[in-house]
Amino acid sequence: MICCESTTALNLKSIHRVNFSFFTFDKILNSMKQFFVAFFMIALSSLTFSQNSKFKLPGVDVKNLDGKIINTKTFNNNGKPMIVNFWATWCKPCVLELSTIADDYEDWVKETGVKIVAISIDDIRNAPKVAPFVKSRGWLYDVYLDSNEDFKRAMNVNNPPHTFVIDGNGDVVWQHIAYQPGDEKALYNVVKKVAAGLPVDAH
Amino acid sequence: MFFGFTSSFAQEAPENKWGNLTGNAGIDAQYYNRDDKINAPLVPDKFRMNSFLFLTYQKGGFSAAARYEAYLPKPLLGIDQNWTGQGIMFRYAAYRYKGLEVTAGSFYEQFGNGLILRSYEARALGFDNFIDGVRVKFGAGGFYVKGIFGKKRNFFGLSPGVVRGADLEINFSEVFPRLQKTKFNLIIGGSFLSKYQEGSEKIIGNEILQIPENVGSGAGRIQMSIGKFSMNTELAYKANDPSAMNKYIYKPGTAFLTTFNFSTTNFGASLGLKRIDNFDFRTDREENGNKQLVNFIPMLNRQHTYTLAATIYPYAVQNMGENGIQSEINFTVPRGSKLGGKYGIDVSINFSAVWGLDTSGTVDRYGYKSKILGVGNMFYRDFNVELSKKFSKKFKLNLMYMNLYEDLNVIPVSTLGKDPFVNANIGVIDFSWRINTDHALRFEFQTLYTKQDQGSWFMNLIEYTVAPNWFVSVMNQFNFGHPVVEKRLHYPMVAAGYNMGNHRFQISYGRQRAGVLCIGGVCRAVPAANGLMFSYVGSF
Repeated sequence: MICCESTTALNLKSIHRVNFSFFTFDKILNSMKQFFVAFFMIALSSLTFSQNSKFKLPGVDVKNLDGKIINTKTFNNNGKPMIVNFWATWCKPCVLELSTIADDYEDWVKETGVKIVAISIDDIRNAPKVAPFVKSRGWLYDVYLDSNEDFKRAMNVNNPPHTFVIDGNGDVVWQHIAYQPGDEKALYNVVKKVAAGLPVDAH
Repeated sequence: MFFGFTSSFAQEAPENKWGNLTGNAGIDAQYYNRDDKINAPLVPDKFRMNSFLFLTYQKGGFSAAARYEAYLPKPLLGIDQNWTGQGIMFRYAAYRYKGLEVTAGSFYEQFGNGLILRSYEARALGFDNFIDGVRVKFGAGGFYVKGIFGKKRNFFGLSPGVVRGADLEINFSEVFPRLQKTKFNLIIGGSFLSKYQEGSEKIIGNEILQIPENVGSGAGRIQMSIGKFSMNTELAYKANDPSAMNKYIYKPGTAFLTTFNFSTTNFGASLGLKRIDNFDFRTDREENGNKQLVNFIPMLNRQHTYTLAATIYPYAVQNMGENGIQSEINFTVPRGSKLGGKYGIDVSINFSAVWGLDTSGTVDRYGYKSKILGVGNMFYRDFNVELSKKFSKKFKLNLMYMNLYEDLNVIPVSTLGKDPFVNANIGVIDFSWRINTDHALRFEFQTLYTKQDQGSWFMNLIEYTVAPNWFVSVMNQFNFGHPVVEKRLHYPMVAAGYNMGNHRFQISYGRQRAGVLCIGGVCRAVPAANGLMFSYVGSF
């Protein structure tokens, strides 16, 4: 608590020092105006477009762990659900998510036929280490490298982890940003619905 | 402009006749307080924001995208202030038919490992150097060709120089399908890139230099795997390119990068080596810092994520010259074994070191000579061990120990100036407790012990998450070992966030320690700040 008290004291001090002459007041008002105009423009358009329509996987090039160029249009799981997960070796929540799922992955596959496609966005600093990283953890996912981030951009991913669920027709029906312990439950519920051919609340 | 295309492609594919319009957006805003204790000054624009909106349209083989960016009224502190402004710089239209893809407008590209060309974006660092021009890609039967022509982005403008180049990659397993039945896999590639920048005579002292306007560069690479072994090597060369960074010398540049891997179930090992000699490559020869870079030299040390390990003494690549080595071993103590317990233990051991070149100066404008196998002073060294153990469905523990050495004369990430040769020991305890399926608590305790520079640090964090929506965290960093007693300060920070499917909001308040933030290969200095932060990211 000591820390927080001292911060409050400093805030008060700084407010007393602000000189509210007309010139600075005008300037502050102007910068706040610019700030809020841009803020609302972005927020508004983000909500307007946020109609959660289904979409097909875009077709861009990624590489498999042998270095072969693969088009993402070819990703499929023979009519069964598929999870596409964006991750990186340096991303702690990503590794936690994939490790947590790995504990139950065999059951998930048995019950729903789901396949996980794990897209590493590691750049060349870490990309060569992805194969040993995945192997050492015994993950059974299909792992691809998206070092140039083409697939990440095409899927509108900002930060990993970002998870998509694709139904048997190849439509992206659900997506989720970030990972918190327990999120895998919601993800698996969606996968079960998709496997049963039930509609999914797309978020 | 791409909305025009939307209507003209309206009648095709039955399932989605209008095509798909998707996008994402982000806002990072901060309100700055004055805080004399941590040297955070009263800033003229106390509200600052970086924001963007990105839209992609796709229909069949056609795609187009545009990104609106606004840094208003000024970019966040620590981001290059040249970003001030708003507008649409990134936009493209592309068409793909079978193996052929043509892009007009903005694009990101990388040849091989990026030693001679990489354009990319690291938004958190205020880094974006896409190429604006034309790209053609073609691939068939195991042969992949790319050609590019354009100018690199320079904030809300373009670079003065032009880049043009081509890359060829041959995948032998596709050329000779019989190879696919074997455990042998071979890919070779080569690229050429030339930069043109209008030149003038440069006067240095009493010399008049003729600066080459065209700078050619080339690289060759090989990626090979035999069963559990694999290897990835690239060698690059750059013709003479006198620049502000190399103090206008005419020595050509060379770069070498290789990684060997061995991986089998529950065990993976890798060894990386590199040598960089005079390989700073920019579209404007007068620039420095993170500006106008044409290529990308990766770091070879481990990318740390725990705060004290990642942000106090990070390493930054020395494009002018360095020798580096890294080795890493990852393995899992098997499940069900005596030591491993029910869930096993993930172990990661990593060592890396970087030295300067072993050089001797020459009197002419060639600059210097360097020994290929020699090494100079040590710049950086890092040894770390990380253990991750899940005890039960409820409890998980991560432990990390790291020992590092850094020469702050070479990598000036801290400016205290006293005793620049830093030796530090770092310990991390990261404990998670899943209270039930949705509620979880996580505790982090980190210490960095050093007698040099700013002295020792302690950091603790408590994070409470409620899946799938909420998180709250409280964090404090304490510089308890600072040589000046008055500077033994606390840096508290509280944060809360809300996830709504594909939208995420976060708000935080507190003190931000001055340090260096690195993502990928780029670093930026983060100034000390005190204030309120808001961030939003969303995809739709």
